[in-house]
Amino acid sequence: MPAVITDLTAQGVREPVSRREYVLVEVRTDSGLTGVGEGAAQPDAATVVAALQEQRKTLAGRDPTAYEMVRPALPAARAALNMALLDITGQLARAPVYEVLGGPTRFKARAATTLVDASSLETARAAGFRALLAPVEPPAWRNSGQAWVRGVRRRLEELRRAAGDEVDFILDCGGSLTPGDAQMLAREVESFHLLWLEEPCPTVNLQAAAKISQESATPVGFGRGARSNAEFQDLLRLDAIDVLRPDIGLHGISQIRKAAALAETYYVAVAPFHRGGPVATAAALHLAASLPNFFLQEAPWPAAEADRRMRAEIVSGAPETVRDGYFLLPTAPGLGVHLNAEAVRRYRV
Amino acid sequence: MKRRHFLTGFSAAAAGTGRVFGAECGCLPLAAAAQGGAAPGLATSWPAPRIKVTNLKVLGVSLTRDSDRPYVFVKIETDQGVVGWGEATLEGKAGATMAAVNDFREFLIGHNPMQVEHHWQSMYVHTFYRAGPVLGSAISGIDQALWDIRGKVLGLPVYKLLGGPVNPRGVRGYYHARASTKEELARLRASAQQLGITCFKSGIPGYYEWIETHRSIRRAVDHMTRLREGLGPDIDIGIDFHAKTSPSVATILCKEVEPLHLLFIEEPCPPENVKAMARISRRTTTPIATGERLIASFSCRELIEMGVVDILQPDINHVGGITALWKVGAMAEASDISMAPHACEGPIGGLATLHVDAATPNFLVQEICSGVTPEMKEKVWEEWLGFPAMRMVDGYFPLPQKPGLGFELTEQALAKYPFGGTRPMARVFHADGSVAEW
Repeated sequence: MPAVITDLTAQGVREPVSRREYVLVEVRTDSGLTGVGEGAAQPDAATVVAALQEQRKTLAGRDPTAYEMVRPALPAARAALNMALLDITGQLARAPVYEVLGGPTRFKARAATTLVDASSLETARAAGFRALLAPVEPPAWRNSGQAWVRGVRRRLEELRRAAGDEVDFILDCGGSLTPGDAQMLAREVESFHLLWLEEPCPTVNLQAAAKISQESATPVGFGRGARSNAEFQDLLRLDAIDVLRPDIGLHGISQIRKAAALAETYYVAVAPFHRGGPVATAAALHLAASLPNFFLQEAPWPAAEADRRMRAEIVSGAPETVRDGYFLLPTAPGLGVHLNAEAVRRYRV
Repeated sequence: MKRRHFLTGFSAAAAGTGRVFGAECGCLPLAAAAQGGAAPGLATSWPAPRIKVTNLKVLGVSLTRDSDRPYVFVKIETDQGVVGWGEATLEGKAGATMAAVNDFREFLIGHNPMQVEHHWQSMYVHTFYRAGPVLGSAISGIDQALWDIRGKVLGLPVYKLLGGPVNPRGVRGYYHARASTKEELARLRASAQQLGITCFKSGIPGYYEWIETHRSIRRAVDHMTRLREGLGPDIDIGIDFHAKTSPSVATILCKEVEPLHLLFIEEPCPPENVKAMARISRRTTTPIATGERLIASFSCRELIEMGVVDILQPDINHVGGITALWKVGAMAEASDISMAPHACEGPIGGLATLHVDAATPNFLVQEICSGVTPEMKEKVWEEWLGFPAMRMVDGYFPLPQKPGLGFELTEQALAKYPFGGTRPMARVFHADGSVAEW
């Protein structure tokens, strides 16, 4: 007999030190199988939890494998349910989600995380990361000119000296520069061979954003702010990007697979990220192993031991294992992670 | 160096110099990096496959001895006893496609059939020349067979692996309107109402020169008008120009029939020149559909980006199977373009395309090249498969329920219709002897 959805529970959790929040959902079925998913706390955890709970009645009685048709309006809620339903589909099929989706296309997934402070270079390297996002210090004024541009380059040079050749960098501008500053910077750091320049400016004016990659050879990544595949499509059509940057906590597995299908025809890679927890990382790894044009997955690697402990405690398994620059892929059926209810309660928002 | 060498031996080469040497052309691939050690529950190299491909067979099937479009079926066998079927029929080019399928033997035998995306990429990318109808059809047949195996191993129909069904009633479809006189159309309308059919497609009469005469244009417009009048306002009508028309002639026809509010006009000109089709599209409000000759998702990008098409119609037996048809649908969705896949070959591709349709939110309608009355080929399909494949019930193709593509087929069943060889398709000429499009 096919499984039928019976109920779901959702709750927000918070890391003790970073105060990072994310929302976890558990979808239950009459077959006893449970699917887990995670959504970004956007606009905030309570709103996402409420949006998920609103779906309880709609989903009850439905076939969990029809994941394509579960599309609540709030992106984070949709992403979380998409992961949970794919988790159930995988468990029903007794196969990892990437196998359900036609993978694996790879047996490990290149990993990146963000440098949070001076000491985190060593922590991240020791954890196995070989690609790091280095946040750029925003200029004090708009269009800051040479002193600032050279300052950024000096900082990159210091980083590379400290890290050695085996570590690669993504210069993360966090959408903070003017297009003019971003263009100058992209040109100035060309010879540094960044993996890419991340979200150099806001994407309010796409033509200006596109000009950055027209004026330099530094690869450019955009997409953090996008809420739909139509926005990714605009970036691709304008030749504005070299790397598509969807948030798995907002788009889920299925929507990013569709964005990736679009990007593939532009010969553009997908490097998803998230600002959430270990369930999102697990989902991202299944996504990565289902895509032909995956390049890298960015996930948080908290500096504080207490935060890392929480991430290990709330789920079974070890989805965030990095070795020599790559996440290792889960091999168990579904997403391969289960929530530890007691630990989730302890970290509840 | 043979292809086999770097597929099976690249880690040994990488351990030595990090580079594969051994040929004069200097254009060989660099070897992949060596791999790390193992960790419990996590993969550090390709996991040992739980199922392996043991054989790849390609079968030509001619329903009549002189058929110009024999079916090309692909059968993939595994060490677990699970077999998968796919279709690689390419009209008029059966021999070439069968040879192309066989060329992929070493890509598959001994490998894990579950990794369909990986194999798709390898077949497409490592072929170097990428798109083309012969390669596209060969890849399509293999891709469908791999999905059939995947679904059977995973215990789910393929549309469920893809997240469907979008509509539990099934997949809305259309037959061809085998009618042109008033009386025939009245009868067709009556049977449509009785059978719940909501859509038909028809062609246009004759062949068209670069620029056409008043008489020829009137004949085409009259044909389309008669269809609308005969079938009434409630049945959707698609008209297939079959690229018989030049952009100049197509534009006139598309404009003339705007008041008929057709569902679409299909292939108003040949597919290679997107700008030419854009020119037609810009000059009319009649929706434009195309895609049956396009290979891989790459070939649809420009049509979507330039806002040329309202409806895309890739054929699962040419575009690159389930994998590629799904990708085209995903791309089209971001632009709000509808999907109405082409299906004019055998029953395997027909059934495979229903699975993708059922999981495509922007799906519109599915073709089957047949009439409201089943034809000889459909009797044969039923004899092979044990059910009336690709026949609608209340206007919808029922969703297959069994795992995989949802049917059983044996080589013995096909043996009654041996391959009669490749034959060219129709060749037509204008009054002056020059080559005409059909």
